[in-house]
Amino acid sequence: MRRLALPGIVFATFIFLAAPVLIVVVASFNSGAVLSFPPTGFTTRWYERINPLFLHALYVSVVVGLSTAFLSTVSGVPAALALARGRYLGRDLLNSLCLSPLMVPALVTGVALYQFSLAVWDVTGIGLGGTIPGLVLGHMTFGIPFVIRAVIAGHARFDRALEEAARNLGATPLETFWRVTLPVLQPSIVSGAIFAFLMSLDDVPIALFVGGGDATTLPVRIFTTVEFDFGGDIMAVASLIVGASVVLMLLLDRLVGLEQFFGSRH
Amino acid sequence: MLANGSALAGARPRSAAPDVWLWVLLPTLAVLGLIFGLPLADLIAVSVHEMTGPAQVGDALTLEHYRAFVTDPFFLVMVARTFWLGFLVVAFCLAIGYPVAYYLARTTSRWRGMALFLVISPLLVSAIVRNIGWFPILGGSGVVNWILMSIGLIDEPLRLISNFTGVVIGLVHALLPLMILTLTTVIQRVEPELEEAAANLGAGPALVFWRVLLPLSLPGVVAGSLLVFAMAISAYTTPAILGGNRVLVMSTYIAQQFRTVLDYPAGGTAAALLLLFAALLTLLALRVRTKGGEAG
Amino acid sequence: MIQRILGVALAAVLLTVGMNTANAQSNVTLRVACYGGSFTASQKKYAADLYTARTGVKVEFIDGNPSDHLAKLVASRGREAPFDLVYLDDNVQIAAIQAGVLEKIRPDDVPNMKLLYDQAKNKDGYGPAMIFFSVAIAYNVKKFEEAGLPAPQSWADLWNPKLAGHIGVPTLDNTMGHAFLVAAEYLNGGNESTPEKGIAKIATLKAQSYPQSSSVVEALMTSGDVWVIPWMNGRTWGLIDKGQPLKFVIPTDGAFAGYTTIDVVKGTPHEKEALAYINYVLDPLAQLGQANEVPYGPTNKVLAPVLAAYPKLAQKFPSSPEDIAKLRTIDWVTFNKVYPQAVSLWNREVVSK
Repeated sequence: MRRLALPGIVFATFIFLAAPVLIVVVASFNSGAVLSFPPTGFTTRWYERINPLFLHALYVSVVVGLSTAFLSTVSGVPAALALARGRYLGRDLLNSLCLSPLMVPALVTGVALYQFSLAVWDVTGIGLGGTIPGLVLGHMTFGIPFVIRAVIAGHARFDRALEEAARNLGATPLETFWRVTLPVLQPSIVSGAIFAFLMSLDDVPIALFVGGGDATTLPVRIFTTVEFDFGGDIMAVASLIVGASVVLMLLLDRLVGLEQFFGSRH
Repeated sequence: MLANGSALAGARPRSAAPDVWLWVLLPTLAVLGLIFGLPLADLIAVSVHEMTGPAQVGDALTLEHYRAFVTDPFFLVMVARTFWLGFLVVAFCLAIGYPVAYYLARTTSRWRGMALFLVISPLLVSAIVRNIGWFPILGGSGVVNWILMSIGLIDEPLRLISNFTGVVIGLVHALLPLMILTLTTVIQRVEPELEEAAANLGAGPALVFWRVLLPLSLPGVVAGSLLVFAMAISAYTTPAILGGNRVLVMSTYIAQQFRTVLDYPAGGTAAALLLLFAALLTLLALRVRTKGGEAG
Repeated sequence: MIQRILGVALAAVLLTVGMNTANAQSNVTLRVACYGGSFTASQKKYAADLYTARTGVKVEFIDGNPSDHLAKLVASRGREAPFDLVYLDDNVQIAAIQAGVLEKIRPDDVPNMKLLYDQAKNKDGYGPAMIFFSVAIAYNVKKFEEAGLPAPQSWADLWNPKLAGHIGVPTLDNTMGHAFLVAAEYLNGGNESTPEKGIAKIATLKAQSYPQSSSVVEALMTSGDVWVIPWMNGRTWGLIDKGQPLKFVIPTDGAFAGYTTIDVVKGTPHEKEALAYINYVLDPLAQLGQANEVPYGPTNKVLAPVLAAYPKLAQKFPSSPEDIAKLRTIDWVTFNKVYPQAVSLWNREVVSK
């Protein structure tokens, strides 16, 4: 009985996690009222009728997401190490500060960024509103904290002896960092980057205020559309994203082995 | 086994190493300060002014908004409700997430990669679509009620959506991936030999968990909890949709002020206070943890 | 049938454009702040695209809620305007005029303004209404039958105790919520200046949910959690057309008028082009196209006889001068003034737990 408890919880959790996703995918093929369950008929017409605006918005979202993940990782990893290893006054406070963007509703950040972009325009003439770089900067406000959090957590059981050993064998500090420190932290870095990407893909408030026009992300498109009506094509787009991610994951698993990303387990 | 290399650090010559790390932190702090700190300070500065019209403020300085907020029981209840929501969500995410993370960290199944992918799958669906997907499941004639009534557990459908319960369910669902992923990467760095050793010494699974596994994975627990808590108290879409706009928490209140009433001082005040309370709580949590001696 | 007419009309217009390409060159891009979804799509199809084809001026839509647009406009006062034109809800336009971010319309540059119903013209010379819609009662016919309830006929019918737990109320934040608050105020012996009376009345309903968007209403109606809700004609008919067993009923004490205005932003560098765009929006073709697709009532009276010939379409919105005259109007200036107070009361007394 006890042996089944753990897999049982895991299985039930997976059902819980997948439930709304399954509903969305099933609804995308529903020929009747999209949200009726059980579905009343099968059709692929929602997929055929996807508004090209959604596809362009998806492109924008992916570009912004990848850029956010990359830049957040580049900024976040050194900061995380500094917070984890350093011994200086106010370290805990700085740690809190680095987490603080996540405690502020994204809406507030979005409005603040919009107002700020106007001030920036006043001073420098650079317009950040309605541009992809502006969006990336806006998303980095939560991307960086995510990466920092994930890497600090993963650093907790970091065995410094490994670095000692590498240096004793003649490696330079840079080599040590690259060949020893980073690989050990890899799973945490990857999970932080994934969070940053996914949160960027999901964000509405910041993209609503900072983006616009050509720089409209998919969630914002969906958001402004559902105010009016709820087309099955929204479900179709959402399902496509899930499907594309599954394909991507399968490919990665085949080529590289997903294990590589999440690190070997013990 | 060395916990954090501190013993070895003691053996190293005391160089200027700690200060170096501060310099490493500086660029990132500068970036965050620029893209977050400054804009937020600018917005919060608005909260000490008077509202003179939609999205407009006067020049006179005033602390009236803050005074009105902290002396009004209605607002204090709203703050309490917000934090209560955060705690509940964290509690459920931990209770459900830890076993799952443990399983994922220890399993040797070749489907582990795909399972991890499944864990993050909820986040691949846009928040709005995901939340709307809950209605056929949690609604009066939805899947859950249908199952429970079919097997005779209940006579009347349960109210699982458009209320606080729905919000908790929705937030736990959306934030569980964060908790699981954070915990998995930490647990998998705890050597299973430690658990085996404890078991060999006669400890039951509960004791192994309490005395070996939990303390060693505590950084992950705290990190995951802080993340989930921060996101739960600042979440807006899920409480609005799944709460049926009946659950008033700080973020829905702030959104209302910023987007419809256009009372920036009121919204800014609430945002500043939310940040303050949450930051204090975080500091407390970090202090408690570092007493245990773990790094970072 | 209307579709055919529209198709032919569109083709004819585009054909004449094709034969007259000499004028179709311009470096200007007009930025238009709009709602999004099907609304923007129909404006694009029947107004913006034709405008671009005829004049070469490109049109770029920026989607969002009217209040978000207003917030951006106010923030940009004294600086470059974030967009040139904006579609605003009735009450948001009043707030925008008070904030000084809109430009008055030069009627000579928008000849189609002469063809509008009087109710659509702004008495201070600002942007005109380009659609009318009505806020009334949407209910699920099947659920009412199953419960043995008669169809709701007046606003007061919503307070039928048998509906408790099955009624939805639009959140105060959106247009339908505003109108319903006014309805409740009058039912309770008050008016636009006494939100406390309206809030107190609404609080007695103990609604199931206070939805913001049509998608949530659709979800609630489909799952059977909500049987009846005050909502607007366009979105309700959208659901009916999708097969939902709903009916949109005009209460005996009158449905409420709502309108969307099209305005020029103060400080736009492209005022001429903006006014020309407005002329396209008010053009009978654009008005008819929008009425067919979204569907909201046109403000161009030229279409009244056309719509009278298509009752199946015309039933979906206020389509005749009589319909429009019967709509209850709201004193938005007073409403806006007490709105922050109304929101505060709403938070404290209506939103539970």
